[in-house]
Amino acid sequence: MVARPGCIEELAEIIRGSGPFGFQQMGLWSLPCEAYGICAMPQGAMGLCIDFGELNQMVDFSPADLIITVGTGTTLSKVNQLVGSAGLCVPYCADYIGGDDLTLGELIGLNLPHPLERQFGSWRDWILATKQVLADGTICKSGAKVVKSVAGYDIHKLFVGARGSFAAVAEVTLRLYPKQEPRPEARNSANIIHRVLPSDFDAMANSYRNAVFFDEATATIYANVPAFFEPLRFERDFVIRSGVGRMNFQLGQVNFLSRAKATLDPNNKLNPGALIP
Amino acid sequence: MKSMSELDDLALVLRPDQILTGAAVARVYDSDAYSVDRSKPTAVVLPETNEEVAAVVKVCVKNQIPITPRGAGTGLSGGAMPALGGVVVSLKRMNKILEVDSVNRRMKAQAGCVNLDLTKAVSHLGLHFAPDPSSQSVSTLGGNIAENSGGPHTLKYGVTAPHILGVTFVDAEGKIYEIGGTAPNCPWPDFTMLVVGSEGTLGIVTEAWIKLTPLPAAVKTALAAFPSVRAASEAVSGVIGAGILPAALEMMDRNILVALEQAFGLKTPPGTEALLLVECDGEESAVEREMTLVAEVCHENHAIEFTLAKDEAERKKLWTARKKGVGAMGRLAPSIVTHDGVIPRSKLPEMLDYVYAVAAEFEIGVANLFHAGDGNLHPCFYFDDRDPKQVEAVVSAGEKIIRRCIELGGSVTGEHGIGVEKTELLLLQFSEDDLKLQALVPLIFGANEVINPCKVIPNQKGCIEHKKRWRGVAW
Ligand SMILES: Cc1cc2nc3c(=O)[nH]c(=O)nc-3n(C[C@H](O)[C@H](O)[C@H](O)COP(=O)(O)OP(=O)(O)OC[C@H]3O[C@@H](n4cnc5c(N)ncnc54)[C@H](O)[C@@H]3O)c2cc1C
Repeated sequence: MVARPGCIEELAEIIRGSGPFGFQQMGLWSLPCEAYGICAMPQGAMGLCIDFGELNQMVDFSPADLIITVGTGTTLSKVNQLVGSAGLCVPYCADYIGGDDLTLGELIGLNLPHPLERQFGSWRDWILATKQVLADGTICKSGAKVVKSVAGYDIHKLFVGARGSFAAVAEVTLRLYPKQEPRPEARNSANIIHRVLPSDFDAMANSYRNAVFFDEATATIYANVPAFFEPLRFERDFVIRSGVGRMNFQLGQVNFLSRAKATLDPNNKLNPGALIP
Repeated sequence: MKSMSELDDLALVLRPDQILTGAAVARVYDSDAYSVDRSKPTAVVLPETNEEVAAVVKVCVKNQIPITPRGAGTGLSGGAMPALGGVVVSLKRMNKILEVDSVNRRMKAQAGCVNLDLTKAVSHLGLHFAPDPSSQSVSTLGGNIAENSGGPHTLKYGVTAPHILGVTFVDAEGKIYEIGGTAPNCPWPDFTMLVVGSEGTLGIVTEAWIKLTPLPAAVKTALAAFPSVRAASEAVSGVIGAGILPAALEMMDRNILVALEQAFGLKTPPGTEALLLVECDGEESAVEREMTLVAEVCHENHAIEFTLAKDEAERKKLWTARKKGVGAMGRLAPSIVTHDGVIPRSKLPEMLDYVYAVAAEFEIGVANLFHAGDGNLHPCFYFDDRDPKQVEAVVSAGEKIIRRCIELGGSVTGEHGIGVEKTELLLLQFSEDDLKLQALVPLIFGANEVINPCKVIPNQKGCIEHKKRWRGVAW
């Protein structure tokens, strides 16, 4: 079953379980991201899938301040179309992970490396504020809609890469940058992304065939590998594989992840198992 | 406040020279650079290793003694003030650089290292630690992390957060953790991002892996004089609107210029109401192109004068106005308090008008020297802190300005943090539900009432009744 909330209040109602979908929920699944299908509702799982597609309104766009606030169901291509008219962009390049028809919610939830990172940073650097629904249905915000703020803890940054498991983020305020030249050619998606410390880049790069892109600037390789391929591992590196579910999502800081999950979503409602198996 | 005997356990984990007590010590450590609120510690401890920090925390937890982490004490919101007395844990002796990894452009250093020493240690390699708070010659890495400090070059290089790869962290129970520290920008949630900016309320940072940034190939600095603050603000918008991201874009208003002239004989052309310092850095040709554009924008916005530094010596001279501005204000009155608020950059002109109006209303002097590119205001009030009425006026005027920042869609603080100063003001920015989420953060880290109480989160148990005591003379 799929729910398609049209606004944050409806999303809250669904999560509270008191709305028209008020049945006993085993789990609320969001972020159906095909390329890196880690958060899609697993086959046979019990629960309700939330489609964020209607949460795609532009709340506020201030070109002079280089800031946009927008629903997380908005696709990257749509956002870039919107801000592009003012000569601006969100400088995330989704070429290797399935293109910019992914929504901001998906992209932020996954926080995959991208080739413009050395120059512009990534979601954790751009995310200035969020509005979300907590697991108990509370609607709240974090951060501030300005480029600089140290008011309170930056918990909105913890939602980056959290695969929808800490809160259902409905709205996000992002820092914008001057528009970039389009990249020369459309590229293939990669099914593995491997980042190492720069000192290990050559060794890592040599261990791959079928690379889609070598990004020396961030010591990252984007490649296509067979399912049985076991990457050579390096100190402090990380590897992410697509299409193989959460099992190949290598975890850092498991103790803190578990504590955060237990604190923010004590009944394990939001994307259960997507972050911590 | 705990008595000495309850601190005896500290002597079991530290040498005598690492434990400071007595009236003089209590006076020195009773506030940070935000001296409006004061509260004395019972003891100050100077651990030298991760294990000693952990041992101190364990002793304090066992005896329920409040702990206040402290770097150089340059904080501007009372974060390092021992609000409920107890033990100040000074990281000053943990000031070693542990590992320089120039290939991977990273360095591991202890939290008590002074910001500038980090850069000094790697400048011969063509690298630097980019966060550059104006206090960088004294403030510590731990303090910079705890406050997520910014500086003049934040506009381009970001605040402290993007430069911290990972930390060694002693939690509120005395357990030692390594947080973060993998290859940069890990795809899973990065808890380093919560430690950064947590103002010492989650635990104590003892070491950090920091990112090193290559020194730019070329740097150009210019100082533009404008006939009005509005014209200068519009130039700021114009520069950003032209797609230029300068390394620094700083503004100084007339009263700063008056102080600078009195203190250092710095002259500006007649009719100058605001100065804009612009710095562009990067590849030689790009910098050249950007500066030409900046000059055009400044002239379009009626700049009276545009001075481009010809060499390094001139560049340093142009920076004098920005760097010595606050110091020069010491000439205007016995005390200054620098406020801190953020507004969307496009609201700068109307906000500055408001700041002048508020200062006039409360009959206190104000000067502005701030990070215009970030929309981060620093109205500096100058007054006499021996007069309780003036202190009260400064606090009230500050609150009024912060309220306006929020009305204009900004933030109650861009750099100085919440500390004890702004806990109540946080209620302007965050609803009860927003604060409910904020209050979950300490739980994630297993923080307790012992670790830096009364900071950041408003209305903490047992803190409200102490507010009057902190204010001392003024209330
Ligand atoms: C003249 C002057 C100029 C300034 N300019 C700027 C500026 O340009 N930009 C800016 O952002 N700030 C500025 N500040 C504010 C201040 O310098 C910064 O906040 C600085 O980072 C504080 O560092 P510190 O070592 O002095 O920390 P402290 O003042 O000692 O402590 C600050 C906070 O951090 C906590 N803390 C300290 N060390 C640790 C640790 N190891 N682990 C956990 N918590 C810790 C303390 O508990 C406290 O809450 C300025 C201050 C002055 C006086």
